[in-house]
Amino acid sequence: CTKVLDQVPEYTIADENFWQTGNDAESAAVGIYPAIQSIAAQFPLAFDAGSDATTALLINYSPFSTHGIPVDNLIVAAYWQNNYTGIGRANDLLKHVPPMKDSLFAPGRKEQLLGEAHFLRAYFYFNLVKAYGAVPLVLEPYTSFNADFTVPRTSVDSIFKQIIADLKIAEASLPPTFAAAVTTRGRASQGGAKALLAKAYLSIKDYNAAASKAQEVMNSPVYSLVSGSAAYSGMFSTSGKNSTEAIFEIQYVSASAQSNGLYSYYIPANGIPAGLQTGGYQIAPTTKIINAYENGDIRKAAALGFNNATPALPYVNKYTRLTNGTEPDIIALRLADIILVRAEALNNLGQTADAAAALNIIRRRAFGLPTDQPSAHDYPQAGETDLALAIENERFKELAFEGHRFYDLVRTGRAAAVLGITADQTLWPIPLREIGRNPRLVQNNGY
Amino acid sequence: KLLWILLIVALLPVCAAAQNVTVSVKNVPLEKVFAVLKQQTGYSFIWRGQTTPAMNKVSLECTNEPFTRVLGTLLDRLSLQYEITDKIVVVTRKETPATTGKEQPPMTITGQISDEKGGTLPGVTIRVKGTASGATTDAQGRFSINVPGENSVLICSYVGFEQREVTVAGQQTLHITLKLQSASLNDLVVVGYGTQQKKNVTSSISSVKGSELTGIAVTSLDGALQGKAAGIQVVQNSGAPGDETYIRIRGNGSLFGENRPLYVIDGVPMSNLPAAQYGISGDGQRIATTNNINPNDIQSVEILKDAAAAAIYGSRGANGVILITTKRGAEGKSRFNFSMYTGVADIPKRLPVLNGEQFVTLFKESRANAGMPDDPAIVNTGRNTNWQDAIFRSAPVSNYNLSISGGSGKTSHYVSLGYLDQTGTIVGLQHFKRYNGRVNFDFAATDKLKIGVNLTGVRSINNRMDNSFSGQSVLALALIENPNDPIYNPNGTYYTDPGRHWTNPVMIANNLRFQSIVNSYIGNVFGEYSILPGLKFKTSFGFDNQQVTDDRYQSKLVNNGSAASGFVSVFTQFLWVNENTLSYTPVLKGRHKLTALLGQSAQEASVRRIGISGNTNSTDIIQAVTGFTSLSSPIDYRSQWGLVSYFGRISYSYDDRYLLEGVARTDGSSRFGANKKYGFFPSISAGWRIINENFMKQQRFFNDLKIRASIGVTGNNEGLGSDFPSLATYSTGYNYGTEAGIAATSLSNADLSWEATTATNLGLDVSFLDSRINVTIDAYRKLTNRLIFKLDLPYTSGFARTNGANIGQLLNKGLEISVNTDNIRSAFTWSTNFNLYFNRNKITSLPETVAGDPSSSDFTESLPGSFYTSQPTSIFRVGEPVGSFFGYRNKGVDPATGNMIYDDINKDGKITAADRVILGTAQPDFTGGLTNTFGYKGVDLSFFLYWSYGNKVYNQTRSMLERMSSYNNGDAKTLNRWTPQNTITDVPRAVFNDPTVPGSLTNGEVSQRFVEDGSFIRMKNITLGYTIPSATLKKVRISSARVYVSAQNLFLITNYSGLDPESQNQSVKNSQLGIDWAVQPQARTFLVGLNVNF
Repeated sequence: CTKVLDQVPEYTIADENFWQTGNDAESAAVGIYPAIQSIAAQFPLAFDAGSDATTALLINYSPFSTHGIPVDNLIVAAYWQNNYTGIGRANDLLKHVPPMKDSLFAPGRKEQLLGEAHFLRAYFYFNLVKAYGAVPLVLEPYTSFNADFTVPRTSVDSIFKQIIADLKIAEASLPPTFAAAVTTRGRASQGGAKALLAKAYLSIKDYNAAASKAQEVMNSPVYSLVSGSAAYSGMFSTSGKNSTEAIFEIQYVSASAQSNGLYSYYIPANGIPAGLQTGGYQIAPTTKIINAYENGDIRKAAALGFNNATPALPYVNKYTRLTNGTEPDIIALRLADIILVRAEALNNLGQTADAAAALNIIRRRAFGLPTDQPSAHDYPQAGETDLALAIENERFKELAFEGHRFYDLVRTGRAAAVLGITADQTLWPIPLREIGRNPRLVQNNGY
Repeated sequence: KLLWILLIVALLPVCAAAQNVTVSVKNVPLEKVFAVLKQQTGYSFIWRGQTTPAMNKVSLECTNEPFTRVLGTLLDRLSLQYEITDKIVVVTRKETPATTGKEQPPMTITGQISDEKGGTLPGVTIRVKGTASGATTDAQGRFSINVPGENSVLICSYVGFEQREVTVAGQQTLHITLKLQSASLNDLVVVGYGTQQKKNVTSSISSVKGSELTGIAVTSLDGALQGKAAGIQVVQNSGAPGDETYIRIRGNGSLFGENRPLYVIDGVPMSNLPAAQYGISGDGQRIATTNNINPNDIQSVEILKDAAAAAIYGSRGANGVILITTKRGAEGKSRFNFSMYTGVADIPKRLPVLNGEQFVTLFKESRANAGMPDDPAIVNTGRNTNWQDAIFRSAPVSNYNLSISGGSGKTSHYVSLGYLDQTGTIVGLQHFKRYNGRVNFDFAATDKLKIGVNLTGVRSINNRMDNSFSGQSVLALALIENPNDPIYNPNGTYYTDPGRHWTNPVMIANNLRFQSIVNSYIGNVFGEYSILPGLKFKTSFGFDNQQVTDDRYQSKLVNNGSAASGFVSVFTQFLWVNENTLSYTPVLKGRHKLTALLGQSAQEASVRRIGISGNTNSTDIIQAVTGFTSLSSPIDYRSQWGLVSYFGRISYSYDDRYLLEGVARTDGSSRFGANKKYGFFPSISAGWRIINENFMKQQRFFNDLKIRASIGVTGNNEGLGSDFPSLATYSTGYNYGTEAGIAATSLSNADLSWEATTATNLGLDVSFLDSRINVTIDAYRKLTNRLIFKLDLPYTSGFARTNGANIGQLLNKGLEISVNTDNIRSAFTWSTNFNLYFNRNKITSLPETVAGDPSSSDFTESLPGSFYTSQPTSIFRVGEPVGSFFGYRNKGVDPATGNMIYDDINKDGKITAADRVILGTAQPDFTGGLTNTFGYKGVDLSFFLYWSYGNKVYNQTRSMLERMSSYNNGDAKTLNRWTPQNTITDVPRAVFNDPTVPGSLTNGEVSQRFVEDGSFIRMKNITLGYTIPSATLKKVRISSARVYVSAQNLFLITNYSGLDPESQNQSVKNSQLGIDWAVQPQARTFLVGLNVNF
């Protein structure tokens, strides 16, 4: 009779039967990534809707465009949820893998998996701190219902300390590249840890560290800028996935399996090139970004399209789904971003020549020119006097619709000037649902 | 011993016919001789009289002599006599030694039998005591019989009347009066693991006889129970054949768990299959498991309502228990029964939609009001197709049943076959067919050992209709279709709207195949052994095996020319149960009576569902998914659970006045947390039969008077969405690129346990005026604690919510009244069965997640809002009943703008989600049934009314037809819409896309406007029958025959504007009750039927 009561699930795994083999740990590491895939709707969509690069036409993202986000906004809640879901899975791995026998793993593999979890946890916290400021710092997984789920917010400084600590471990334990080509870009790597470290240092204004980490990434033989218009556009499309420029590229497979669905927000309902899936056109590019590109800038065609209606509707062209269901990736970290991070850090350190040199690499590439030869587009061009502004504008154009713009302006203290928003509006509200379920949370100012 | 059994079986027919015996014994107790004779003939022996000479020593020597002669000789020596009734030899002391040896002259006696009021009784059985001869009375109650002598005794028996013995005493003509049996108090009532005499029952049980469930064109047993008993609410969700019925005993006992009762058929508990894993749901309408039972096989249905009755089913008893007992064979020659009905069903009501011209006007107005260009394709063609007429049809229904029952000596059998064929009232493929077979077999292996088998097999084939949300609801499509469009093109093909604004409903009805095939086998084998007199051991091994094959095929035509798509899924369940009980009824001195039961049970159920879907471009001929061009979404779901239980019951009565019963069960369930594997479910009940008190001896008014009280605890362990709700689990499917990933999906809750319901019951059974009026009143209170609620967690936990935690509390209290009366007892008879049932349901506690914010305990859930409607929403809120509609309160149409004005509840100057209020509940104030039956000389007439009062319906069909925001056709009510000329109205202006009004909302929000009173009285059934006189039938060797005509749902009295106030889209989720979203209404059905015994 005890056998009758001793039922073991077959369609799912009871926790006591998990974390038994090396393969369990491998699968658990992979299982963290879908939390990043789910972030697509908020990043880049919601962040860019709050910037001067796009305007939300329909209700879903318009509160971000108007900077009047209600506390019960579902997108704000989903972003919070997806990041903490990923943190929970990373914490789970970080708790359960260390006690596992080393003999279950190939040499060094255990450390790599732990490094991957550290990288991902840092990535999630970085996302959170950008959106919400101080957030609860959870470093242990929950396993039982009988736990205290109320955690107060931890200061932005402490979150960054944790991010940097995690990334340092990841940097030390992750290999420069993973074995297979696709996973090289799609999963956490040493380069990814260094790149994220550079961005974290930049955020906390540790410009020396930011510049040197960025340099390490640039020195890595693994990464190089793609060149030429076709390769540049291809990097964002379904054809040129996982280019040499991508440091951390969020992988999507197809409409039926793993999809980001970004096309549905960006692409118009008609008049687009054959072979592309039509969309709902909820997010439109601003005139500002359309006019930002000079003639001959290969990045314009990669970022923007115009349909064949009269007048032609401009639309974001970076994320197109093919009618056969093939889905593009979203590049979270790429070399051009890191080169500009170095430029910004050096400029802040007063090393303007080196900063301009880094900036010029990006500028030359943007016009299909060799990156090591001086060009007509180099800084300073006619009328350019402020290198910091030049770097900001370069990021605007280079990284358009990749979700960086809003935080770039917040980080540099330029949000008020450029977007006309108050300090309170630089952060999203803490989701109402969370405050309801965690009384120790305090809402952000202004909400 | 086995050889003996085989030999007896082989010889049985011979022995019974020849009745010759061979005995050789010396100086053995008479009892032993009887045992030998019983073995050889199959006749049982019983004593009647004060002292039994069973131990008297006798000797007997005979070889192959007639049984009766041997018996006569043997008993004569001991001054005993005997008589034989139905294979039972009744032995008594000789009464009139004076007549021994002296032959009496045989004589013929004639007479008439009547009841106390002088009404003649046809069909009374008359037997001559001590002989095999007998007769029955004719239509006038007259009889004629030959008796062996003037001192012969006649035994008169008639169903419903007390048996009477009359001594001839030389008279040639007799007038015999029979007395009505008083309230059938000696009737047996089936209880959990046994039976009890009705008079001794201390708990609350309603019984429905099988005969009340037949002759109705309702496919499910649940549907047939509607209005038959107080304390049980049945809602016929839709008129689609084979659809699930909403059934609740004493209210909704759970929020997220199972609310349906436990069904036990001949001791085998059937699983209430969980919704998520059980086939294609058809937008929430499941097919009912109780479809698998043939009502013609049912002897009785007992509804165990209070905790005292249901506690013996422990953790599954909280929603009440329905015990189904099927028919068994009885001693006697084989009886054949053939019954059938055939008829036709239709939908008489139509919703008033706009005609072609009105529609075009409305459409153009809505475009203009929205500032949008007109669509030149929408023009008045003058065609005026009535799309409702196009999709509804008169649908034939037929049902045939044949059963053979009988028994001889050691065996008895009941064998039946049934076939139901029901065409749906929507044109096209809708159709339900069911084939039933049953074998019930009993065998007395030895004096002490009885074994038996119950087995039923069912196959049903249900071609279903999409209910609604998929956009392929035939009824919804018909209501919104442009009346200017034709059904067919001139060449006979289906008309397709070039703009794709409408889908041809007739095309969908004929081309969308949505079929569910159920194969079900339920049965058990059992053995019962009498260890000692009064002490019995019973063991049974039962199983419930169900297989549901769902498949769905949408041709290219249905898919607007894109690839055809298909889906197939096979669901199987196997449940086994082993139960062992020991029952003990000791013979006690004096006025004490005691019965005790001790039992143990173990069961295990496993389910599996396999499915796959795909697309095909090639052909509609191959509809098997393997022939498709692409396959996707494979399913392989497996789960299982186990339950181990120990239970006991002890019933004590003193002097038939004071009754006391205690029941307890311990259940161990695999479903629950490590800390809460076992639960204990006790109950105690008491009764006082006041009628048997000395002070009542003098009165003649009351025939029975009993009060009852009970208290107990029962549990609910079903419907938690999973069989492993307490475990922390990891699941696959968290893949990244081409790599397979696994992630934690739930938190553990080692303390998770069943929902526990503490129920009290007070009851009164009273029978008076010569048992003409029988009243049962029960009042109850059911408090469900530890309600399982999926508590939301902060996302910082890494999880959205718990699997379930025992948090909430829910209260049901109610009153049940049932009255059975015999209004006229004479040649003309009139009896009435009336019941009334009040239930009040209230959520009394839910987790309050934000201190001081009452809305934080709210749980709202919405149905999809397809066809341009807003999503109807229900809410769980403390202090409010389950099934509360949640939306905006409207304050009419603004005469200035034509927009709806909604009540700004929180006075913040704008209309937001915070302004929603509760708009009413789907739960009725009371429901009830009234059956009147009249009889006169073989003619019977009965009519059955069912009503529900105070229930609200959210008429989402109307919200679709009054939205005026799309290409959908509108309701006739939209003719009164706001226009600059018609400013004082309750219908807003027509505006395409129904945009949000600044500071307010759209005009078509979920609001009070679409909440309607769903009270109704329905003429459920009216039947006129005629029993053909047996004299006429004798020539054709038929023992009885009845023909009848019947009408179901002949009329409906209601203020509800939709097609049917009972309609609800689904009853799976408690949060979505009472929403009528283009539901196929119940049909009006006319039947003719025949029931023949031969």
